[in-house]
Amino acid sequence: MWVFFLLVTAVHSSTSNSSDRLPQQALKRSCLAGLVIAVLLLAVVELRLRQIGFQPTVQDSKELWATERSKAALLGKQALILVGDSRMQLDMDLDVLAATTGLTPVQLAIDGSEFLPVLADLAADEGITGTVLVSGDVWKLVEKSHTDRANEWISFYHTEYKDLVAPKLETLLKSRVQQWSALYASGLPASDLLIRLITPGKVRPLYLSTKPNRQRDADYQLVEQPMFYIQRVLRNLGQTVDLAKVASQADFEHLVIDALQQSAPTHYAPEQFFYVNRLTDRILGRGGKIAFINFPMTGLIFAIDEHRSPREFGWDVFAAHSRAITFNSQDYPALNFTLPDGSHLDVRDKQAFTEQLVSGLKAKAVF
Amino acid sequence: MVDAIGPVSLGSGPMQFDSFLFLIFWLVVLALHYSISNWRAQKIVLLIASYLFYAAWNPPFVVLLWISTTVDFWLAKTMAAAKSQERRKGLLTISLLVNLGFLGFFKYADFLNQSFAGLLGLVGIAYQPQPLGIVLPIGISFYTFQTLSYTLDVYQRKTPAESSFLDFSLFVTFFPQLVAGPIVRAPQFLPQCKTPQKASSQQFVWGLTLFLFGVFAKAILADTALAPVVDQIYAKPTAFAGLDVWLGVLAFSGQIFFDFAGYSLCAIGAALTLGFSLPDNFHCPYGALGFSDFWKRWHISLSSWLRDYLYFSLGGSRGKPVRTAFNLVLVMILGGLWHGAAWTFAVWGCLHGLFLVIEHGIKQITAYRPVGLAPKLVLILVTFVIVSLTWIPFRAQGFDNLAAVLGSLTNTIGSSELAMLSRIVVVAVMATTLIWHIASREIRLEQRFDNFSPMVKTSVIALLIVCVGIFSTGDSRAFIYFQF
Repeated sequence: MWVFFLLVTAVHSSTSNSSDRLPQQALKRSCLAGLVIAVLLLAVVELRLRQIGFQPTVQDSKELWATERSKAALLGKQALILVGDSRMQLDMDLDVLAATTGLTPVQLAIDGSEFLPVLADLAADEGITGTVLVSGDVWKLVEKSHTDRANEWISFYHTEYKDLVAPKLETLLKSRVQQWSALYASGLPASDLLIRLITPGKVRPLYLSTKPNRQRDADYQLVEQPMFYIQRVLRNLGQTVDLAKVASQADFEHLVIDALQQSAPTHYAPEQFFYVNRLTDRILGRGGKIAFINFPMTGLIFAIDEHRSPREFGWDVFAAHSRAITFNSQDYPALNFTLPDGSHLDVRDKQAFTEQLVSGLKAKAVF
Repeated sequence: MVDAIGPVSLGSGPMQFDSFLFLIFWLVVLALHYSISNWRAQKIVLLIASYLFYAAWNPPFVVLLWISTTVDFWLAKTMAAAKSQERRKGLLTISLLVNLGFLGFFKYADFLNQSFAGLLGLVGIAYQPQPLGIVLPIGISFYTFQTLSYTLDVYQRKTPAESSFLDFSLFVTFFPQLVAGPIVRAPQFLPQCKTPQKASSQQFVWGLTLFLFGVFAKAILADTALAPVVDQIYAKPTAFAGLDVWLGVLAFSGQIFFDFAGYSLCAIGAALTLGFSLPDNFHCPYGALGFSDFWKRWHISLSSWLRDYLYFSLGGSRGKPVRTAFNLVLVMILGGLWHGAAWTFAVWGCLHGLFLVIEHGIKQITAYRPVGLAPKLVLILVTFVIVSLTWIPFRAQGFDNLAAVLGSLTNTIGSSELAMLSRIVVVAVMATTLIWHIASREIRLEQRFDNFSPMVKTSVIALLIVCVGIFSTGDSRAFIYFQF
């Protein structure tokens, strides 16, 4: 604001020919008063948000992803590139990864997205010669014709980011501002945030926060359990369940298992992994390393996954036909952590989990 | 015919006015501008800042700006000194070839190539050229028209050739209007370079206010309120009931207005804080009484350019009615293609040309002029609805999408529907816009603002800042007109 004051008082009398297009009445006082009121109002909202537990957090975005994607190519052998979905983004502690491997982590996982397009993009880039860690469900290893957010972000990187200057600087500035203000709280559209703020009983800080390096942390102490877990199970199940019939946890489990029985398990054939194997071979062919990791799941989330893609007909088929290193966390009891939603780690556990995972990967000569 | 084959658009362009990067850039430029007392040094600072502004998109393309600037400066100077008309004509031809050559190559090469292939296909010759993948330099359509108007004016002896290369460079490159207008004419800008420009406090504050209006229009009304609805409808129009498709069409009318008028306000405001005056580009276009009135209010700097340099050059309305009609339609088709290398833009331009011809004909035959409030209101609403429908080819991604949107306007049911909040927002924003445009048809924004009490002015400014601060935190979309 001081800059505004300085500039308003520093400018001299008019020599411009544009005075015919000016309001006749003096504006300075109204504008300064408006600015002061606006700054005060914004400060009140910011303070209120902090008071009720909202903390500044970077917004995960295609711009931020593109920044990391640029690094992946520039770092060469030094890059430790993480590809996958929310598990890779929420479960990995990048500081621990850097400290225990000596490499520079590059977080390219995209929450709720397919990861094969990202792997394909990396495989096509001759600059990618580092180590690639891939995580995700086995059904995501099969090539699909549809496009999703990953395709959009990759296209953005190549056409609207890679060779341009302004988007890089703007992303840097924006993430700085977002780290400073709670108004940008965790990806929630600000309009929704405001509605929550003025709706009694609905104000609850978001459980996810994002760092400028795209590491996301989940604080499950901020969610309402068991509803959060139930919703996660229902989302993975993809079928409707009549919750009115649920009186206990056992009832819920029965209903989910019954619903599951309506669908048959998928058996994968080796040729369904030809595409991902071809991408793997391209990265290996130019001296890079690649490992596929099956992250831990528990409870009904594990039951749903195991029913639909039984390990022996899915993951094991893939592992037997891939030249990449494969790592299934089910084989490592040290990776048995509590997963509050059956699928992701709490922020408090990710450091220990990452250390154990790196230890397991080292045993497989990934590092 | 080819739907939409154009050059490769590289991203959101240079610094967006609604970005943190531009805010810092602008503050630095203002600080330098007002801390230097030597006018020539100030102009050099503004010129360097303008090149940096453009280079922030893609540095190598600054070379194009230099070529355009140098060639037109030299040609105009030589033209002014030339004694023979033949030589003057030759120099003008070189200017046209260089400027339109650049524009044609970068913007239309792929389009012409693919269209040619389409024509050959019609006569049974299979020819499938690979897209050339040419990157479209941001703002090339704008600065090409700006420099062309200068050489044409010098040729027609409407304006003297500029003797200062620095002033001429600043005229071509001045950052507030470099990439998306308003398209400034030399007589509007160059005289301002002759005397030191320092904004009065009233100019400075009004410039900031206009900039705030522009950012609000772009970031809140266009991007946050309307664009999501437009994207949803145009992505899958057949999935929606007719009423929702109509709302999507209305929403695009609002989006394109707030996007481009917002940019123009930002440009005019930013220039005013530096003491420079840029021409108005919009004046309540949805309050227009007919199509000729619409084009006096929409993208004024382009429509007046087309009128002065193209329509009049073709003979204007001096010939027979058929010739006048041909001139109108041709100018509007070329105006449509100026917006983008796709036949859908040509269709949009052609439709506007036909509307102008029909309106012209009705006025000639019946001598009808609406008198009284009700007939005027009816004419305004009819114009608005037709203009809104005509935006469909402008927004559609090819002819299939165009047909789908048009066909879906009469859908009785749909498998998807817009959220009720989105519907309310579109209706509220567009109804307010229409009322504002009708009520302010004859009143300038400055006068309208003057009529507010100090309390209202303070409240409006505070409200807009708070809205921009709180609501515009999502993805920043590029200004639509950057791609032209």
